Amino acid sequence: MKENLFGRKERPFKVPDNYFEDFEQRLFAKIEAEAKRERNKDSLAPVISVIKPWLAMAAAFLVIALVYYQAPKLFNGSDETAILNNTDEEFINSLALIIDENDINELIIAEDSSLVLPPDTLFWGEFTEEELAAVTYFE
Amino acid sequence: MQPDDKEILHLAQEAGKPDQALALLMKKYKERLYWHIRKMVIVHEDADDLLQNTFMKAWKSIGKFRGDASLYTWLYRIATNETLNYINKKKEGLLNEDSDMEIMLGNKIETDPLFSGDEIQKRLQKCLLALPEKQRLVFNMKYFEDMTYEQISEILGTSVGALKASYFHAVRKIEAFIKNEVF
Repeated sequence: MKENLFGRKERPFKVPDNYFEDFEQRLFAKIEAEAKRERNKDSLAPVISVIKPWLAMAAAFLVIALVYYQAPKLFNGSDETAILNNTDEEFINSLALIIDENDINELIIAEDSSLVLPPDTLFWGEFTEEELAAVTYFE
Repeated sequence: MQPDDKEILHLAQEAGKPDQALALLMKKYKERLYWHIRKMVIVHEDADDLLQNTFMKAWKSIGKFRGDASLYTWLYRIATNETLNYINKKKEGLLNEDSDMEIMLGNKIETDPLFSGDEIQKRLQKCLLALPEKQRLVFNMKYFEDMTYEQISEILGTSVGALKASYFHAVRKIEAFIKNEVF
């Protein structure tokens, strides 16, 4: 087979002026730039490795706090009313723990005795302490 | 005078002077490798990038080069792999991978101020673009670079028989293209 079967065998391409002369210089500049980039990356690496666990822990606490405060709102429809009711109930319960049963009765009596009952009230007349306690007792 | 491969390897591996080794490596092989790449990718800027990548890879791993093959073969392998990977990646972004690539590079040949060939050479280059990559590669290495089948076999890791068949098919296809004036 003839080697010049398809015309001249010279390369049909050329390169920009001084391309091969400048090639080494350009490549070394590229290598230097890459090495500099690597060095910068390496110098930041120890700082990042120290901060990283703390950042992770802070993020975890933040997530826990968010879940703690937001979850009841997300999963409870009448949330605000429920929270208010719960708060009232808790307040009454906590009072009951510190106040004596007799004191509560006295409190009730004192409150009721300050009332002026109208003439058509069912309980007209004077009441003993026991009677008053009995009529003001609600289950 | 061209630097000796043994001297280059000595500088890179024993003398601890990889930069000097790279400088000699480039001095000896840059032009041959550039033309090897350029004939495949056609565009000068692409060939320049790929040549730089080839030497960067060689520079990074020359310290571990065991010398099972010659430096020449090793560099040609790196350059060829870089080039074929680049072509495949470029094709992936095209709708009709082969024909769109052929049209794109054909247009580049028509308009590129760095194409210096005559009309016959232009026609030949356009015919070559219609060949499968491996056939084009073998044709370039055999026809333009005057490599022996044994050398090509060592670089591409393909048997001599398969290379001969590949070159034969490439020549037949180009002849048919020219005869039928397909382009």
